Amino acid sequence: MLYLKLFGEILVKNPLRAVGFFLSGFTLCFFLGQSERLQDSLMSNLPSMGEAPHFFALVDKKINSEGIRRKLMELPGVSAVRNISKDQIKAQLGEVIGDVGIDLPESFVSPSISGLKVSFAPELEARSQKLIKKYLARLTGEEEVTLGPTIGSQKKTTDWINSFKSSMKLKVGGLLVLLAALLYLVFGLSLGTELGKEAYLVERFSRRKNVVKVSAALGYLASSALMLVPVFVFGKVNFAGVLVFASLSLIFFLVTSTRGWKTA
Amino acid sequence: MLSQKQSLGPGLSSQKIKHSIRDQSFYLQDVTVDFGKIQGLRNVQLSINNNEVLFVTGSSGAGKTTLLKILTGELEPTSGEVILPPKIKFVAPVFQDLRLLERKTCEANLWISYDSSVHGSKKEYLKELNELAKVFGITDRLDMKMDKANGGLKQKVAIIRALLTRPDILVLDEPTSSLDSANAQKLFDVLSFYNSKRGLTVIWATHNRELVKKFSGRIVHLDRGKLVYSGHACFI
Repeated sequence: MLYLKLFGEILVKNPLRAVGFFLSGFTLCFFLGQSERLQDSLMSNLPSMGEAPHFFALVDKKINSEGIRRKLMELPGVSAVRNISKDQIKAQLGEVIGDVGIDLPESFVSPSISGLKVSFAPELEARSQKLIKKYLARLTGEEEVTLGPTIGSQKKTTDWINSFKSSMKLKVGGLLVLLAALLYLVFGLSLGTELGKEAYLVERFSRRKNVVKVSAALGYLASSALMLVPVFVFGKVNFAGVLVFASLSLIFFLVTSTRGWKTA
Repeated sequence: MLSQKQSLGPGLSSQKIKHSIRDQSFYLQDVTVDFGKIQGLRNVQLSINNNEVLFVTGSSGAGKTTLLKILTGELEPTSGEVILPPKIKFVAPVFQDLRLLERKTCEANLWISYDSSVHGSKKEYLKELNELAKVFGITDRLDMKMDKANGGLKQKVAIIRALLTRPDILVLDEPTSSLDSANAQKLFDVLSFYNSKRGLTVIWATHNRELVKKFSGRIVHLDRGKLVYSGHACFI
């Protein structure tokens, strides 16, 4: 098929750009398409965060816990705020009550509450920790929240190194996505320039119509589909991420098909 | 006049380009092209007949390239109409900037114009390619990459590429700017041959006074976007 062949020829004639395009594409696609899985995996590898000074708060479900989480994250001295699932609340309570020798019934954890785990910065003074708790109580209303005691305020330095490493992993992950997106754009548009020129000439000097549009559409569609295969193979696909990735391919198509020889 | 739309170039189609029932290759009706405040063409009325060889002359900035871009579909008129004959024509351009793939060889650039629906087998196409390469004296340089080629060779490749498409109309924008007078004359002879034997319509924008002087056909002269003369070269 002429149109796909044109795209293939561009890849073969520009091997470095082609390798860069596919490597960055696969990386970006994987990060975006599997972002939930990767985030879960990173979060579960954060034991250090559990050992950081922190407290649990049970908040009435009618209160927007996501909004509370965002406001708390803005405070200096708060290093992380996580929503706690019903199972985790139960496990946490079980851990406390288990020491007393009482079995926790299923109905114990009310479905009308949600949990938050607020982690403090390592060197935060007890006074500041109290202020943060007060702030939380004021945000939710004192009657709508149950605050637990601060746990693990005396931590070893090595725990904080681990915590730092883990939070760095998240930041590095974010940077990698950004870098992959940037490289994908650069390589994709650069290959599009070559494809646009060659397809324009074929269209201009033959009786074929829409060579530029069709070859760009088929080329980017085929390469995107190829890059998406591993994402779907691993399962648990983040469709929003896939949509972001697909929109980049759409940009390539639009730029390539509208510029033609002007890309030279 | 039919209001059927026709695409002349990649991505270009216009309500302003129509088909005529008359036997003209082109008919430009009151065509004006504006580039912001600058007018590229001003109310140009021009008919170009089938099988005609037409020279377009004028100083730099007179509107020659704009006129040719209108004819090849690279530009659309701001106002006015371009009317084509009912039989769909293939217009092959030789652009002023040549539009060659610099990292490819001469031969690879020529193969761009291969179209199985026109040429049939690749063997037949190759035969035609070699014949034209021989006529223009570039047979020994077909393997040369374009970025190593001189201006004359590039111009010849662009001309051969256009001829290989077997066009009905050939539009050339300053095709002899890098050719010596002998090669310019050779090009004129080749195109005259195609015109008389194959009915090729040739529209040729040039500054080459020598060629224009020898030419016995029609010339149109542009001045600051206006068509100021259409007639025999000897009166210009």
